[in-house]
Amino acid sequence: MKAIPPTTATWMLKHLASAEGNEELEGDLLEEFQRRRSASWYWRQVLLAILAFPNASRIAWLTFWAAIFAAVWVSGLHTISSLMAHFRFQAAFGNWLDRESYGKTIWVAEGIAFYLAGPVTVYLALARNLSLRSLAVGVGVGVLTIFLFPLVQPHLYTPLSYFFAYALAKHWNVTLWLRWYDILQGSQAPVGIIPLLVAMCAASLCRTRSPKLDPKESPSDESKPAASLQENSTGA
Amino acid sequence: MGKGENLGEFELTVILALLRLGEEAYGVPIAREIEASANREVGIASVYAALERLERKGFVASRRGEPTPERGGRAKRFFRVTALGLRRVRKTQRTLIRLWQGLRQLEGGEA
Repeated sequence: MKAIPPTTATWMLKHLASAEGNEELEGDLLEEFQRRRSASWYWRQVLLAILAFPNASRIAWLTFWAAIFAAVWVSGLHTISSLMAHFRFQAAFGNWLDRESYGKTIWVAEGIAFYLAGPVTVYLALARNLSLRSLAVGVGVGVLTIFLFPLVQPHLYTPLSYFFAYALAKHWNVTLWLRWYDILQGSQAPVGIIPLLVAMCAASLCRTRSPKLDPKESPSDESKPAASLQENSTGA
Repeated sequence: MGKGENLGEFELTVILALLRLGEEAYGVPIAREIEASANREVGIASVYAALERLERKGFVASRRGEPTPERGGRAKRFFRVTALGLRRVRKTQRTLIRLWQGLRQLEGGEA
């Protein structure tokens, strides 16, 4: 009976490996899979094929959606962990973050670094150009969007508006209100993907295109079938 | 000789496997031939990547075969070594033999 290779792996091979020459490779993998009947072997071969012949545009799309998912997910986690850390700090050190100026500085720096890390990483991944210049452009895009977006919509963006609201809450000493604001921040955390999207647009505009392969050489006398290696090897 | 005309270790292995297989060489038998000689698993995609590099250098040429039902209707791509490729292999062989000769460290037993 004919064995069927893992369908997910076959889907990945079809969609994530380059279309050029894919048919022969798919056929070879299917033929060899019928002999070996090993799913792990098939998976290894497919992953190697994606690495050797990546379909750049489809992988970029996959990265795009993975980055959005990661941004939403990590922003949520960040907010939750920040809240937990905040209340834990309050319990342990008696409102350490409020009292000590460096505590607030650390929090602000951590927030900005967190939101900057996403766009810069995605920009570098999509630009596929890990140079000092592209890093500088990525940081520039991240910084600009982080500082320009609150001007447009100040209450939607997390790190800056958070401290504005936090200062108000502290001034009024309304702990309960602060707690509600924290919950609200959790729901607004996905707004952090906006600098990410801007960085992605910048990346797609600045992307360095890989040079096209040389057109196939015209057949010449050099491409005639080779004779035996033995005929001239005696001179070695 | 330009840098791009050199043969890497894996490229040399692939081209030697092609020479051993003759005219009807495609991905699967080439990979099997290398696996049998090197006694390790070889990625078929790595074989194709090496073959594409060799084709760009003009050392191998390829043609597409007919689609077959046992391969899910997919065609084979047959490769052969060109005269230029054969000359390069001979040159590499001569260079390696000259380098090997007189090396006491490589004489008798395993290293």
